[in-house]
Amino acid sequence: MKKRYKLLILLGLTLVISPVFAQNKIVKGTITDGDGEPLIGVNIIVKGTTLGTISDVEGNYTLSLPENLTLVTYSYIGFEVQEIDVTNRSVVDVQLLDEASTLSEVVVVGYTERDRRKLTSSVATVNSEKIERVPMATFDNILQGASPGVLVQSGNGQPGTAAKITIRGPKSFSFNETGGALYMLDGNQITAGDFAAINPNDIASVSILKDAAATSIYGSRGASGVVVITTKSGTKGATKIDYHAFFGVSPRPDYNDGLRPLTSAQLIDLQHEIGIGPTVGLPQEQLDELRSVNTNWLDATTRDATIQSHEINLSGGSETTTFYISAGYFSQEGTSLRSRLDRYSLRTKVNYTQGNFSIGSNLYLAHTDAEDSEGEGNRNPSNPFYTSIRNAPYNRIIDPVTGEYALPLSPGENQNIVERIATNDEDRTINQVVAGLNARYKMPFLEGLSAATQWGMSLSQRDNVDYLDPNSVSGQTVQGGQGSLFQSFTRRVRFTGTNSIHYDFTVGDDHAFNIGAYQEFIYFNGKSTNLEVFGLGKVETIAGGAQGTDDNGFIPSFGGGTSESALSSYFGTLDYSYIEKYLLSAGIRRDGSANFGKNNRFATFYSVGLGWIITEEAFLSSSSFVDYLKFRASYGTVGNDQTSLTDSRSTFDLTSYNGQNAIFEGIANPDLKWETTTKINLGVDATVLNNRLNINLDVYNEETTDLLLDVPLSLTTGFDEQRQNIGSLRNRGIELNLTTRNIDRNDFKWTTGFNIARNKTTVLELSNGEPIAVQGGDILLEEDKEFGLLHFVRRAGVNPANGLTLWYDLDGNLTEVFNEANAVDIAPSIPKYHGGVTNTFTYKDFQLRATFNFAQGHSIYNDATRSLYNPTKVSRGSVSTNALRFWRQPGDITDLPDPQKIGTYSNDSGSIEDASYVRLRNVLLSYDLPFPMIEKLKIAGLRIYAQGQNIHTWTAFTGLDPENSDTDYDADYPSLSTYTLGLDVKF
Amino acid sequence: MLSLSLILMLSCDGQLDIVPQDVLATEIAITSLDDLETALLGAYATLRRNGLYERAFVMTPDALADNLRIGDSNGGTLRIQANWDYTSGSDSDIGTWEDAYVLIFRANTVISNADRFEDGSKKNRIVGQALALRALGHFDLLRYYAPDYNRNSTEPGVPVVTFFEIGKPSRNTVSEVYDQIFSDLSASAVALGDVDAEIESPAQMDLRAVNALQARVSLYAEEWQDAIDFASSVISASSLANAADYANMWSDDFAADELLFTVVFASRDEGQIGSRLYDDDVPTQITASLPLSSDMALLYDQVNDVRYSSFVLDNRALGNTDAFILFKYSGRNGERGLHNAKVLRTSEMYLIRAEAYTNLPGQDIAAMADLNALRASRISGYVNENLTGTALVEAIALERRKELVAEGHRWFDLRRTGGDVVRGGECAASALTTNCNLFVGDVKFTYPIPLDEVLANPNIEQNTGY
Repeated sequence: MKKRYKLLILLGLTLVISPVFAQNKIVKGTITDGDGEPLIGVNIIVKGTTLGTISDVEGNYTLSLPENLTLVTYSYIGFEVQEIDVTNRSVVDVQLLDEASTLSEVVVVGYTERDRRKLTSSVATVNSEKIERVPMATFDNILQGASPGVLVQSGNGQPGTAAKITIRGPKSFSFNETGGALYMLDGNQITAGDFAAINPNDIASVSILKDAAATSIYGSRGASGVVVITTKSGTKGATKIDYHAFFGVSPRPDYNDGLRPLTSAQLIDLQHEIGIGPTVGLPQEQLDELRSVNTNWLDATTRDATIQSHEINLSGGSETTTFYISAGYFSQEGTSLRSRLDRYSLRTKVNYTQGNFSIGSNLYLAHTDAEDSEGEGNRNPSNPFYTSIRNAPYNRIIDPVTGEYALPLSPGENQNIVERIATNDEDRTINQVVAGLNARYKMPFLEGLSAATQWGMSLSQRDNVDYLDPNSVSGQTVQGGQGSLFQSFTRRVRFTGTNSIHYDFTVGDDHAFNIGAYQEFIYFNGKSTNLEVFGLGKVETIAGGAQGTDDNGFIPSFGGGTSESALSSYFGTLDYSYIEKYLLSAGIRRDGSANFGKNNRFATFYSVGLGWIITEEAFLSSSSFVDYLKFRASYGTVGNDQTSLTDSRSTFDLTSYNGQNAIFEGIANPDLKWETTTKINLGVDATVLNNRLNINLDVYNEETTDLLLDVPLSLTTGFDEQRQNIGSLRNRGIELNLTTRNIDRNDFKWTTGFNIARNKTTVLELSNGEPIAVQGGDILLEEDKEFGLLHFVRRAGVNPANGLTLWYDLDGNLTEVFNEANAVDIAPSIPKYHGGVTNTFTYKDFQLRATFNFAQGHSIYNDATRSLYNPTKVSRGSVSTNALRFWRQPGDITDLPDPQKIGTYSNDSGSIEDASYVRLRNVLLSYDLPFPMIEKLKIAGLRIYAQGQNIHTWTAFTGLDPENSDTDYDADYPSLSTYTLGLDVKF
Repeated sequence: MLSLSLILMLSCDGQLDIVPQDVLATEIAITSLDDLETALLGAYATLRRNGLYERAFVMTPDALADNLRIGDSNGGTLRIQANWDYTSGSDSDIGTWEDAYVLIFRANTVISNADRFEDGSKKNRIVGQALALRALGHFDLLRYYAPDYNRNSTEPGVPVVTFFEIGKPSRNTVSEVYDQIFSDLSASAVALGDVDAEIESPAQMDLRAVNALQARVSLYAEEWQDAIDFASSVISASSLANAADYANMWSDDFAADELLFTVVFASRDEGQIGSRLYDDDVPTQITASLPLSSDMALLYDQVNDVRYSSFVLDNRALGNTDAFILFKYSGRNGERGLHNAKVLRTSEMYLIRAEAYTNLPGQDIAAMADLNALRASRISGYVNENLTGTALVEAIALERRKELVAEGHRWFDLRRTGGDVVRGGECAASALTTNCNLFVGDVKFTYPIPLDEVLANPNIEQNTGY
């Protein structure tokens, strides 16, 4: 180890300054590095003051400080800062840790933990600091831009909605809403929705496992990547109490230019020009009155929403027992009237260790009570975001004469969405329990041998109530015409049991082994029951429903179902390192899934990872440029069994005819088997320039074969598709992660995190080589072609001579005939590049952090805006200001056709918009109260902060939100922008 | 605890034998003739689909032709069809191709599983109906997708499917499809002649309904004598509703003997065949996506014709834009548009027989007698007429239009008899209809086969012009 002879001048300076102050107390000690060598010139400062000293050539120091101040910080370049409470101590020896060891953080890689330096796999982690204080009901959104290759798309402002998380591109042909990743919470499998609903302050870390070496341990479930969440535990020592709170507001959204509606006068003129619509033929007097109404329906259905959160946690422990308890309350309104979410959560975690035996238990309870904005994401009048751009501005909300909700001018086509929101409800209540018990026993007869068992249950119970008031307009159109109440109960429970044996040993000094053998069983059961009653009076529950007779139409309806699946597995892992320089890890897992036919249930997955820490080699160990350098390579297979029991088992379904039970046969494929992804990953981790720059670079190639694909059948079979193992696709990409410490001074620090990923998905093989249309025909899959290209007929414009739309045929000739057979690939629907940049500035006790994230090179079919161009909808209501561009007379050069000629308006490329965006995702400004003030308040710490989430988006997309995971856009609930003020108190 | 958990997990692989719970495993689904009967009802349930008797064989043929028109409030319903703008694309799909083959698949499930049971009158009752449904499915496919209806036509019809296999069949000729239909119907008639119990008519097809279907298919195939014979057998076994019962028959209040086969829609969830024809959400403002064309409405004797008073609403008096509205399916029990679909009625048998007679030499008197009989039951104070030749043929066609409006006939009758679609001034005046005339020979008379089929099955030949 090198001796350090720096900053001797400072030594002298400090010695001069220090006698100036009155001294009440002396603290002495020696400062060493990790190897016990003395450190010279370490900065020793009394926190919250300018008092201080530095260590001498022997590493010794003597500090004088006022009696009432007890916190001292020790800092030295290249080493971690330490803060020590010197109350009642006169000798304080300090060992500073090399900052490179921050890199060798412990990473949770699924069933075990690993030193990051020893990983051979590709794992991204997000630590608790980034997760805490998220001003959202769904904290999964914070992963946006946090890690390369992890694409997070929320695109929905409904509080509590889970985001879609895609890790290294799509692994199947289906556009799965949740992206298909596996979520593990302290060893228990949970759903994407459960993941989103976790109290963010309870989380210690989130690891995202990407390559085969990391994911193959999850065998059949790891193909789309694994998100491993570890919750906080208590630590030994005095009990700590933390309180976190924040308050904030989300401003209401506004129309983009593409959606801005016509004024009443413009719309009335247009209806008269075209000759259809409810205003045609009305007397002039009434028209004049309607012209002046101009209801802004988006304003009428949205609000400035509020948010607040309170959370308190206790943690601590003795030598044998540690505990962590937290309780939280979170409340968020959506900007759409009526949408809101309230969540109460409780978490406890207890660990007990006595000798060779340890046992732990954790429990998470949450109660969520929420109301939804109706019809989210649908092009349906019940969706306020759709109706607000569809409702005619000449319709009123309140009738000025009666004071009651007004009926639209043409009730069959428009509805008073404000009346609908005010009179009808969509409530959901969710109760969640995640409980786990784990135990480990270290065998006394053989050093390094231990046995462990882990049992868990995750239970969620959901209760939905949709209520249509009998006096509301919509309540009078249901059967019987007197309101309805729909109630559904869903219960899902998943048990996971894992038994394992571990053996850690070394051979000689140089060979270190970790071996694990596991057995696991997972069982899932879901049940749902629903009931709809009619003929309601004043009682708004099931009991309020009327008895049905043949005449009154109040006959209740019911439904429900059950689903079950099971997985039985055996697996093993081996980690080996030679002189901590050459690393090998291997895993093998045999899974059996109930979802497949008897002959195809079992499959074996495996992986091998290699690592080489080059900086441990003699030729690099003395380099002053490279601090740490590692090459990684991994290869392996992972599976997917995401299909249902009935896909492989031939069954009859139930229906009825003429009041009698009836059955009909479904289609199955008894030969169905595992989908398998083979992953290759090459990676480099490097730290250079005296730990100022950290680089992680990964390239990968992942090939998925035997894809579970719904293959279109000739309809003459009586079925439109059958699930088959046909087809393969490839994801190939590169991911770069950079962390830099740009400025690192005592009182001012600037760090930057940057990541970017490029993924390309290619369809390699399809059933019989024939193209397959997916996503309602928006996308045509073809062999050897990029996946996810929007496939539409090209719009060429409008014929100035006659106002008819012109399209291109396949040969590029202009035609006035729309034919879907002329569709071609237009643009990708999946981002080419995505990533994020986070800059953190720390000045004294202030911190400013700003995160941008971006996705580039993809397009969305904007179905909502498209419907506004549709001249045939003029009669319904508000077409957008685009209508002013309709072709009117020969010679007009415009892009929208003659509204008089229907059939010239179709689903074509004209509605495809570039959805690339850059979003200022998060800005956080925080201030830690300095020590003297904290002491006066008799607390251990206080931080206050202001935060903005989703502050601004730069995009050319004209819908309300470009961050949409669908290939087409139907007036979705836009992501909320939220501004909060908060405080964290430590006692 | 560790050893306990090991014991608990020793035999987990066996736990993978999960039996799905909400469905019946195939091995246990059909073990008796009673089970086979529930499978038959499963085939009947298919008839409620959009591409069959919820829409495509109720109002679509009338919107394609000249009985219904696109109302000003129409938000898109059947607009592509009414303007003959259809292509093979999904926007144009009427669902018949898919739904009729689901019907055929489910009928085949019954027929192929029947082999496991002993022959007898109970099996006859079940299999006889399944054969009739399979014939109905093939026939309804021909009606839309075959370029012509000639009995011996070698033009492409539709694939004949008599058992389940995952295949890519090509189209059988029209003549081959007729062979299968007639063969199934005669086998059905034989089986239904020897049954153990009465079939619940008109919700299910009994022998009378099968004969009525044979009469209809024979008319399309221009097998005139067969059409006469089958129609006669039905007429002799049923009756026409009298004027008093006629209106009740449309509100489903009265189980008229005239109803030979209806598809039961028990609740709104199962479908509302009439919701696009009559909308009284706002009682003062009755509208329809597809109002009755004025030309059509004015064909009736407004004073004496029970049909006019039973289902034509003169909306002009209320000052609404849709001049005439058809309320044949205004709804029962306060449920708008909820009705059973009337598939076969006795009055159609009179019209079939009359039309068939006119195609046989020297039978005009018999034809006129049938026409007079039908008119007498619909028009009060009707005085028998005595027409012959072309005048008689035209009178029968007109009566057919008036009697069977919105029951899924007009488009096929025009195709069958080689008539042009010529719509009146209302069509030209509407901004929502750009095409108002379709002349014989136009490719649009034959509906395109859906693109999904063409993509999944390269052996399917698309109809000319698409």
